[in-house]
Amino acid sequence: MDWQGQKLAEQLMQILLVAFAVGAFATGYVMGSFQMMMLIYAAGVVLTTVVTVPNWPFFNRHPLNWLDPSEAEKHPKPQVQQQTPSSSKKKSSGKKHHHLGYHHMKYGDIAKEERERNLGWCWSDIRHHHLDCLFVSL
Amino acid sequence: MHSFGYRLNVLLTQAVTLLALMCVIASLSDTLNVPSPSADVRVLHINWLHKQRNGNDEVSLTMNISADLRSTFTWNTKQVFVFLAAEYETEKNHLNQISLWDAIIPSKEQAKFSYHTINKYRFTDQGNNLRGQEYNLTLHWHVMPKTGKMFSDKVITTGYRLPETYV
Repeated sequence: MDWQGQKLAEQLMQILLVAFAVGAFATGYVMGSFQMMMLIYAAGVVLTTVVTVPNWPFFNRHPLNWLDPSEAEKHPKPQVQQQTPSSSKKKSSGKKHHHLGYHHMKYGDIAKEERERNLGWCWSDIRHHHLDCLFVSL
Repeated sequence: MHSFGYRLNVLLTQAVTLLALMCVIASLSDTLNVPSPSADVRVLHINWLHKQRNGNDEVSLTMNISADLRSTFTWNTKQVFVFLAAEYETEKNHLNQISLWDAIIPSKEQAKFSYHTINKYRFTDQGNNLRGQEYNLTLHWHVMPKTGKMFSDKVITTGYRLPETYV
């Protein structure tokens, strides 16, 4: 899924679950049947699973534009200074993050002329679901 | 939300949390129900009253136990457990409580009943105080829910007295 799709999936999941919970409780209470509440809620959970968990195409309507490999070779990644405090904080564990395949780079480290060429490298934080990125617009 | 497993995990956790919340609210909805039960217990016959070998008195009763507990049932009720207790005071014990009979009522339709029976469990004293003893017959019931809090209540009928001599 792309980022917009993930947001949509999360919202759909929460709205559907709460709606089915409320609907199931109301129906069960009015009908006086505990079993009916359980059945409706179970059906709702199954439906929500089918709608939000698999990677449906409508979750991929805003795909990211990856840099073409031939372009990437023309503009090599700037070198990371060894002693920048932010990168040493982030890379101290040496963990590889699976988010986009880009390397961690603070925006300020990128050379000035590359910023002017509207080219740069992206930094994303998987936990916060947002993407600070410089676009490739050539 | 970046992978199948992650989304599945989030969904299941949220679904179970909402289920727990629904069960709590269902239990709270039981407090809206105001039951109006009625009960009537009669002792028809004292079958025998004698002293056991170990010195304790024992009595056997034939009773008619009738009650209407339909209003105690809610949508969240699994069953109602009802039992009849004989209660009296002696020199040794401030309160003696002996369960004579019990039953499980599984549904609302069966909650209006009338049983003609002898005591299911032995009515035995700690000692030999039962001759001429005055006692109450209390019908207790526990409303057991499908989820949540159990409510219990009772109705006390007084004025019963055992024979003065062994029968």
